Amino acid sequence: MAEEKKKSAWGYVVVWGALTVLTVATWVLGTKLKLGAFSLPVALGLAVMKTVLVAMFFMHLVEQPGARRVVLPVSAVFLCLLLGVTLLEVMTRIRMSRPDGIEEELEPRRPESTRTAPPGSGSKRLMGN
Amino acid sequence: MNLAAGSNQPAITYLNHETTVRSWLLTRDHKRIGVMFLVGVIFALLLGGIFAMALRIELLTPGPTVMAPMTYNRMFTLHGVTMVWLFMIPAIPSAFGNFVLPIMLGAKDVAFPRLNLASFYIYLAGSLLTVFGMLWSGADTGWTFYTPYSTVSPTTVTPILMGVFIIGFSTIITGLNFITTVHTLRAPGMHWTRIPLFVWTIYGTSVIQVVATPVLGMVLLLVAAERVLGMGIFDPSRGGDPVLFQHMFWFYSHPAVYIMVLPAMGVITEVVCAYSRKNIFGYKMVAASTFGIAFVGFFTWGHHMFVSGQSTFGSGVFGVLSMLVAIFTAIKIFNWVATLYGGSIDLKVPLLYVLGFIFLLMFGGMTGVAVATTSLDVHWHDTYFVVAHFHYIMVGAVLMAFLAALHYWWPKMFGRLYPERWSFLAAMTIIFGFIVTFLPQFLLGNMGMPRRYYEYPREMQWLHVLSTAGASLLAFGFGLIAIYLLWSLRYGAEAPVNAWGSRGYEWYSGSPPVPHNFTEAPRFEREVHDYTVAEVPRVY
Ligand code: HEM
Ligand SMILES: [Cu+2]
Repeated sequence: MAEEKKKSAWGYVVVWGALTVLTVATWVLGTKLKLGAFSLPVALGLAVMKTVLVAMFFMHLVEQPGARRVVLPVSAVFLCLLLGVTLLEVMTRIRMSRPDGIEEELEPRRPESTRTAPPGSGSKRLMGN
Repeated sequence: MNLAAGSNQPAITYLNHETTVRSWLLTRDHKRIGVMFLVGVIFALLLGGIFAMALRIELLTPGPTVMAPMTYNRMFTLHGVTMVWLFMIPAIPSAFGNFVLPIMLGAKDVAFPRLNLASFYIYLAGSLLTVFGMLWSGADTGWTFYTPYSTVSPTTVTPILMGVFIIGFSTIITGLNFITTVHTLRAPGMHWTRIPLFVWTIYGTSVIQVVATPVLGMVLLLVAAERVLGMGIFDPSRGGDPVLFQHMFWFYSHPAVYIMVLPAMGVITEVVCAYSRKNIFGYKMVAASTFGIAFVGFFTWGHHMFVSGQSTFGSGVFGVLSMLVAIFTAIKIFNWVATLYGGSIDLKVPLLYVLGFIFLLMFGGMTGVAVATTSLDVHWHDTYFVVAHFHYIMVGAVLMAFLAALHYWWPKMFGRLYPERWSFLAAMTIIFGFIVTFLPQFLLGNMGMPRRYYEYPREMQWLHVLSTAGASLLAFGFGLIAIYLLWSLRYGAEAPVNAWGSRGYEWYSGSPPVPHNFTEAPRFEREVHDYTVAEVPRVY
């Protein structure tokens, strides 16, 4: 870092401010407002924004030249691959083998003989055996 | 250059310039670190081999033979964990990659020598923790740690999980180090199209190591958290999804099979060139196929999950994508054969291992395509067929390449020659022993022999006995190699500077190399493996 010139700390303070605002927003949106089905995507979206800010400024990625800039996009692509394909697979599964599908198993209108959960296990319990 | 009297080896080498134990343990020389990794992985191979023999002896008879069922479960876990995590993953990149990669690039060392030493100690710490966990009580989950069983197993899974987690850091650090080295420390004259193909495969491997290993780290940590803190991530009775574990595990572990096999392919390329006296046929295609394999390898992980409750749609997609890997592998095989064709072939031991490699890789690859076909895999999954498939690749191919590298670079590393006849005998024993061990396992699997079972029906016994007999041959072959290599360290004839007349760039330095690899800055004016000139390259 020979050519480093004096940088003021104000940039970091601004980024810190933005992170604080986003954190408060996460808390408000998650607890005060009921977003229903949107709560997960909104929370994840805010988390991604915070991650990018930290990586870019506190981890100095914006200042990097050349090939080192590729690192963040490449990591993002692989993360999307892992999450995207896994979610796609869960969405196309038969209901029974989905984590929430077991409720169907416990449904009272199913004949008892076809249930895998022992009778009497409450509906709170996700899997009886 | 400075030669010892009456010998063509440098008087001062990385081996003799300092000889205290301390100078080894605190070294930052990539060559010494490579040698220490080599000792470490060979020790792991020995340990894993002992466990393997115990398994094979137990399976000699259909009923109980020498151990209790629970001991058997622990034994196959110990075998898998040691072989995969302690031996296969670091074997070629950390040992041989460390030793030859900087020399091939004309560099004095890797980019981060201290980090390189740290990587070795992290590997050592992780391995010791794993071995400690195994000796304390030993897990019975298999090397794959599948949930939900691994979260409830009464054995000590947690230390082993943490040990493997720690070894992962060594993998990541070494990968980063190699990537940086290739980018920043190439000698003048080394364009991107002159980089030796072994270095390209190590580079591709390093990218996988850096991108995929953190996912393994996360999933191991989550299993440990579930065991220790009772979190419900994978356990369905606590609202988790066990298939999620398999997604994360195989997102790492399928690319990890390329962490093992790509460097092996790099070794093969070097050896094929050196002993057929020709530069590789289709350099660019071979380099590109390395990245093809590394990339496509990330899209195929679901082929391990066809019967796990994964969606039919998912299985179909993963099945088709898996077949693509075969295309890139085939490119390499055709190019090796085309290089051999019309070459001036010198059948030394490393080349013998290469021939074994090509033959066995084809078997392993083709059965890979077979088990990636969903309808067939429903029958073969979790049987000996799969065991045979991956042993054909991991032992038949990767271990052959490891032995090829060991024999090809032995004079380079230690400046000694080994007895040729004994090495031929050992190589033939190993190749033959391998086939006798694992070919019967395809047949057993097809008959329905499940993997990880302690007992089996009587009519399968003759195939099991055959397999155990082959394993004994393998063990004999390894014993032979150990004896003559150790013997050669002390009594072997002194090797010439370039024992094989190779034109590979690593031979531009002395054998064994001087402490900083070169006494003056090397210049690479010819293509790598250019055999059109008669004289061997000069030593810098
Ligand atoms: C053409 C390339 C390949 C294809 C299409 C392929 C396909 C497959 C499939 C479908 C399975 C799962 C079978 C089952 O569990 O029922 C499998 C298992 C396995 N393969 Fe391959 N494979 C290929 C190459 C490799 C390579 C290069 C390696 C290692 C260097 C490897 C190592 C393994 C391992 C370790 C397993 C077993 C994992 C376990 O369940 O313990 N494969 N392969
Ligand atoms: Cu796979």
